[in-house]
Parts: sequence; C-alpha cells; structure tokens
Amino acid sequence: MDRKEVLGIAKLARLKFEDKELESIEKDMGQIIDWIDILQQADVSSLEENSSDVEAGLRVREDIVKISGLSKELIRNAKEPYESFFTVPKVVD
Amino acid sequence: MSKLTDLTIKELNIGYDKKEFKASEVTEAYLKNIDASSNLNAYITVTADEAMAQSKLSDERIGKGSRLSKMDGVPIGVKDLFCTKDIRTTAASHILDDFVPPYESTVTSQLLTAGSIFLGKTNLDEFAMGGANLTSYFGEAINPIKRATDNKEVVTGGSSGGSAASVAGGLAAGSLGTDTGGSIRQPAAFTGIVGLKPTYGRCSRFGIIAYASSLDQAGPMCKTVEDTAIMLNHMAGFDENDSTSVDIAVPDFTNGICDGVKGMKIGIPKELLNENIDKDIEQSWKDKAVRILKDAGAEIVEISLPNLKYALATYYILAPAEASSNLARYDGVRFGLRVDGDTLDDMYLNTRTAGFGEEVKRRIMVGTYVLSAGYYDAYYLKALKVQKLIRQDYLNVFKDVDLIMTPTTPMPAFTVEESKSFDPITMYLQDIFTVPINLARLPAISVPIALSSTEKLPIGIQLVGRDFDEATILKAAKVIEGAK
Repeated sequence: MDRKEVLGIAKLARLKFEDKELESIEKDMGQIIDWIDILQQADVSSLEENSSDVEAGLRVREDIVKISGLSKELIRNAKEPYESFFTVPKVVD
Repeated sequence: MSKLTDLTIKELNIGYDKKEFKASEVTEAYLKNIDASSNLNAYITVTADEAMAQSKLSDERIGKGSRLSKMDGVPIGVKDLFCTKDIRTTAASHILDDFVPPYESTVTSQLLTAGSIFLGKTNLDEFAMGGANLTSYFGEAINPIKRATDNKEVVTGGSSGGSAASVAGGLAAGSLGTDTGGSIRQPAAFTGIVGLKPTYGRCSRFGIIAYASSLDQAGPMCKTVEDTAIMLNHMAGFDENDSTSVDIAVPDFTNGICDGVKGMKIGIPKELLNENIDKDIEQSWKDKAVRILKDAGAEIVEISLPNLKYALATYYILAPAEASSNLARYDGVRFGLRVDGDTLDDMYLNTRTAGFGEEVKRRIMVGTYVLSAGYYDAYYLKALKVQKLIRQDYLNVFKDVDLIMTPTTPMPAFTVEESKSFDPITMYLQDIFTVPINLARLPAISVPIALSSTEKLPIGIQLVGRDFDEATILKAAKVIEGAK
C-alpha cells in the first residue's frame, strides 16, 4: 500500500488526511491488508458462483404509494434547510 | 431488603406484584446511582424527566394490578445506536452529536409498549466500531470492576461498553446492546454480566444506526440469565420494516429455562484448543465449564470447524465494506454535522473529515479499498464465499451437537494504557471467539463463570446454539450461572 493508493482511496471515501495522519493510515492499512490476505488460501471451489448467503431470500414489499406526512420532521435535522428543501453549495454555474 | 438497584428484573417483578415498592422509587434510585457514578461515563444522555414520567405511569398500572408485561416498570439503558423519537441519538460520533430522530426504533418501541422505563442513552464505540469503548466521541466508559492488585481502572470492552457498565455498575436493571462481531458478548464478559446476541433476523434492525447491516443484531444485557430471557421476550419478533427480519414464532424464553442440560451434547472446537488464551480463561473453559456441564448431565465432545481460521479476516473485510457503504450517508446534507466548503465535494470532504474519528475512518478506508475496482473480487466476493463456508461448518456440527462452547474473549479486561500498545490488528484479535458467530448468523450468549486468579477480573463463557434456538442456550447458561 503506497501513498498514491491511499490518497486514491481517501478521495473515493471523501476523507482528507494530514501528512502525519497519512503515515499512520498507510501503515495500518498495509498491515490490515496483509493480514486479511490469508483469505486467498481458503478453498471455495465447492461453492457455486452465486456468493449470496441469504438462504431464506430477502422479502420485497408491495409497491404501494404511502403518504408519510413526515417531511417537516425529516427536515428538522438538516443544517441549512430552505422551506421544505435540503440545500447544498451551488453545483451548476 | 436489599437496595432497589441490586434487584434483578425477576425480583422487581415479585416486588411490584406484592406492591412492596413503586416503579418511581426504583427509577429514582437508579437516577441517583447514575448521578453518583458519572465517572463511569456509562451514559451519553440521561433522560431523567422522561424516565420519571414513564415510572409514574408504571406506578398507576402496578397500583391497579394491570401491568403491561414483566418489563413494565423496569428501568433500562438504551445503547445510543437505537433511534429514539425526540431524544438525541449520537452513535457516539461527532457527526451525529445533535441528531434527534423523528422516529423510534422497532426494538425500543416494543420495550416502551411493554412498559419499560428508559433511563438514558448509553455510551459505545463510535458507530459500534471498537472493542474497548475507547473510540467514543464522548470519552471512554469505565468498567465498574477494578484490577485487584493495583486498583487500576480497566476498559468495559465494546462496543456496547456503556450498556455493560450500566448493568454492572447498578445504573440500570438491564440494557440494550447491539452485536456485529461481539459487541454485546465481549463487554458482558469484561464486566461480569450476561449478554445475548440473538439469531440474525430475530430482533428487528429498524431504527438501529447501521454499521454492517448483514451482521448487526440487537440483544439484551442483564444481571442474570433469566433477566436476559425476560428482556428478549419483549425485543424479539417479526417486523415488516426490516427486510431481513424473520417471520418465525417467538417462544416465551423463560419457559423451561431451569430444565438443565441433561442429555445435551455440547461441542468444543478443536481448532481453538491451542489458541493463545489467558491461562485463567483456558482453565475456566476447559476445566470448570466442562465439569459443571458434565456434572449436570451433558456430554462434551470435540468438534471441528475447519474454516474458523479465516473468520477474522472475513469479518474485517465484510464489516468495513458494509460500513463504508452505510456511512456514505453522512455528508452534511440531511442531518448531522455540516462543515461548509466552496463546492459540494468540499462540503462532503470537510464534514466527513471533521465528523468521523480515527477508527471509523480506518474502517471506511479499508472498506472502500476492498470494494474498489480491482480488489472487489479478490477480497469482498471471496469473503462472502468464505462466510458461506464458515456457516456451513457450523450447520454440519449442529447436526450432531446441541451447543458449542468456547470462551467469550482470549483475555480479561485490560487497562487503557495497555490498549495504547495494541496496534489495530491486536485489537481485532480480541474478537476471535465472537466474530465467527455473527458470520454464521447464529445466536450466542456470554455468561460469567469465574474471576481471574490475580486481578479478580470477570471471565465469560460463550455458548452458541442452532438458528433461532436461543432457548437451549439460555438453559445451559442457567446451569453455568447456578454452579458458581
């Protein structure tokens, strides 16, 4: 795990690290990745390609329109709401 | 009469039925203890006014002889990972430190309907990521039990550390925890209480702030095995709001809890016999627990779980992968912390960088890595397959045995200073006995069995059962508890 790779992952994860933090995250991630590499030894040839382990299957709900009437409560936790909208910095010029 | 806060949930029930004391008196006694033991940092938020109001309603019902359930009038702590309507819910993170949910989680809703009194929201590792309650934004919870030789404070374990401290320290009659890789069982073992992780799908996850959704499960943490059964009765059940909730009948878990283990076959995994385990824990497991169960009429057999050696690596791929995806929602837009930036991307970046702690960032990074192009097949998909192998191992063994027994942890509770010398992997190795159970989706309990010889710190034994067979686990745990 090198610096460039760590910075690439951090960008994907929307996280920023100071130079000092980068050193330790680089070291920790390297150790963790080496450690989880033991999995490559596991023989999974007996399993079918479908990797899902959810035997019972996931339920799906009926596609029914429901009116929750919760919009005011849901917006209550937003930092900068405008009327019943969430706001973000301008994205289109 | 013993102190009100020393009573078990079962004893509270007897007292309420005989009208010996009021729920408001019990609640007041707990609130006083919480105040006096604030050094334990067991609670992030104490809801004293709400608790007293709830207790008055319980008083009325007790007076009229119309109690709602065996949890009516029972004051409990709620891990601050369960959304509680109109009560701040933080996940012990800066990014959610002012979040007030507009809705109630299913499990807390069930307990409220049963008449339980909520004393407050208990401390935890940030987003339930940690094994010592050291990653909380609100500071660590402290174990009420100290080391005998130097009276030094030790960690509670984690992530449900505040819940464990609340029960062990007399700050709640029981507490709600969640368990993704051992987060109920390990702190229960470290603090000398009982903690049960039910089968995946037994209790609804709706309204529990997600860490690793395919592994997260709510469970009770109590003073005794029977209390654990009583509390589970009012947590379990199908919920259409959780797509992985299983629609299966919920028995009364207190039924037959004293039936014993006569005729049961209990397996000891041979792969764990040579693990690096603390000597006292090894003895409690291989000698004491085996002897207790044999004396009670169980047969102990050696079993094999060949893929167990891959469990930790599998967990530390799957859990961070799911976490990195689940925690993508914390972006400063709809709730939680918002740190401004010139662009939308800058706002995301600034908010997340300021809002998450070190361990959470580490797991998001590892999760993002194993899900990224080029590594997805080698790590994430492979881990899903190995998870299947591990579950298969357990299902094979359960064709022959009724329970599997291991220690809960490889070592007793450690001090904060000791933990500072641990690198992340040393910390992850603490989960060696608990993590495989979450991967296999099975139910398991930690029950106290002994104190370590020198430091007199609690030691827990883990009993693992078949899918949805929490009842058998509780019976065997009751035997171990009774033999102390």
